[in-house]
Amino acid sequence: MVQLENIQFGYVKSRPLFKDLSLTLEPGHIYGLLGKNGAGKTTLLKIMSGLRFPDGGTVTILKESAPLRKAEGLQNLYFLQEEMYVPHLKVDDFVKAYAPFYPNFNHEQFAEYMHELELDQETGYMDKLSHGQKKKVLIAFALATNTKILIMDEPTNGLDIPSKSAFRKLMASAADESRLVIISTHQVRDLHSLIDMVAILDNGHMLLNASTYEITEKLLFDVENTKSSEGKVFYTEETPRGNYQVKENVNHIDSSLDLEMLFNAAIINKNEIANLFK
Amino acid sequence: MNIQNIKNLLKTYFIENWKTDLFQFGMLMVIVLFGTIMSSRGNLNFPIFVASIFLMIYPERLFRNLHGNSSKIHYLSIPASNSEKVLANLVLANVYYVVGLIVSCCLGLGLAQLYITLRGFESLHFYTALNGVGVMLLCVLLAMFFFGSIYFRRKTTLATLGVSLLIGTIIITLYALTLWINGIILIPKDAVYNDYMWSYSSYVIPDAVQMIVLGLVTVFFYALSFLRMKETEA
Repeated sequence: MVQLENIQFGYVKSRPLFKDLSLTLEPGHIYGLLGKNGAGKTTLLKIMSGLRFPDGGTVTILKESAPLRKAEGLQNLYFLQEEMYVPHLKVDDFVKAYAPFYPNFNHEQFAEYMHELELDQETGYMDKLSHGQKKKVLIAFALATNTKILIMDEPTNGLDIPSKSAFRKLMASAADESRLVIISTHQVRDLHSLIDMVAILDNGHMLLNASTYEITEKLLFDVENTKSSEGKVFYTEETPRGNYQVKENVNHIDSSLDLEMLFNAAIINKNEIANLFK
Repeated sequence: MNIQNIKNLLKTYFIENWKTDLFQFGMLMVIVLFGTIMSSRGNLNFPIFVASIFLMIYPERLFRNLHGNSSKIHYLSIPASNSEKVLANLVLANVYYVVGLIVSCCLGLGLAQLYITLRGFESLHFYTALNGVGVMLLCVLLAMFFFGSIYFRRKTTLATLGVSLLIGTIIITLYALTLWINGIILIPKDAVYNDYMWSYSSYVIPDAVQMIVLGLVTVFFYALSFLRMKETEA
């Protein structure tokens, strides 16, 4: 559905951000795109959306070249940016203005999502709303477009705690086999129960692109020696419950994925983790 | 090219901008009304001049979403192709806004005429120096500002004006230098010409040719606008 092949990109030619980056994203999954500050997560999302053109390589979205920004492609893609822009319009007018561009937009779903996010369609002008409220309106709109590809950059930034759980609930209900959702975030704890694919971007490459099932098959997330003492330890962190470890899951023991620990383990042991998931 | 997408773009524009447009048309009508009453003349050059200023500023507003980081992402992500976006704005600038300005000017002039008649003064006799070439020149200027509003990132009207003046000055200087080098500048306009000298009349280009050239320049700027939009990134 989304395919990036040998992407080269840099804002400054002498410092490339992506070097031969390749990535394939399939429908029916919610991808969590993780990376350090400045790793290029937002840029990568823009490249996928055709908003930035790579210096080299190809980007294909729904079998079309992304940089062409064809209307048919854009009708099936919604990009929810971190720093949102909302016009000086009331919510109803915003929907009247922009919903016709999306053939699968569902007004009933939009009303339902607005309700779930505790928003009233009768609220005043969108540009006068708080950051969190603006984000909630756009999340409801994005989900109601029913686009095949939904790209979200830091969607939980600015949301209060009840809204974060409402967001997770909505996302879980909106995801289906034909839809691809890509969420870039720093706030991994907000999403760990939501995503089923993890992509880690580091130093211009995809360090990891695997399903949560595959990750917990190969890595064990647990307090030191509780379940197994075998396997190479990739990362250790002191917690009130004891030393939390990420290690090789040699005995295929079930454990629950901790995205933050995974990220730290992957960043510290780049080659080992990359080889493990080859 | 999908007509439905262009219709959607126009609908979005009207939902977002109808109040601003109404205000601007009203403002133009008031300016024309008072300008005409105060001058007590039917000279249409003043309303045309003011309406032209409104028209040249308009493309900056049409493409304002391209001048901010997040609004640019919003605009480029709207499901319509680059050519549909340029075409929708071209229709707005060349048809909708022009008609709006003409109607506003007519209303202003009509009200001024009514006021003058009611006060018992002599009716206005409208006249203008604007001809076909002048209209085409306005088309070129609009196309230039249209392109400038896509090309430049901010203060697009001023930037276009500045660059145009600079380029114009350079061309005029080079032209004057050429004439001066050739000595032609020394020949008075009313000199008696013969076969050995350049005829003054040879410099007068027929209106039809001027209009065709200006039409081509207009098309050139719109083509540039399309290409620029195509390569715009967020």
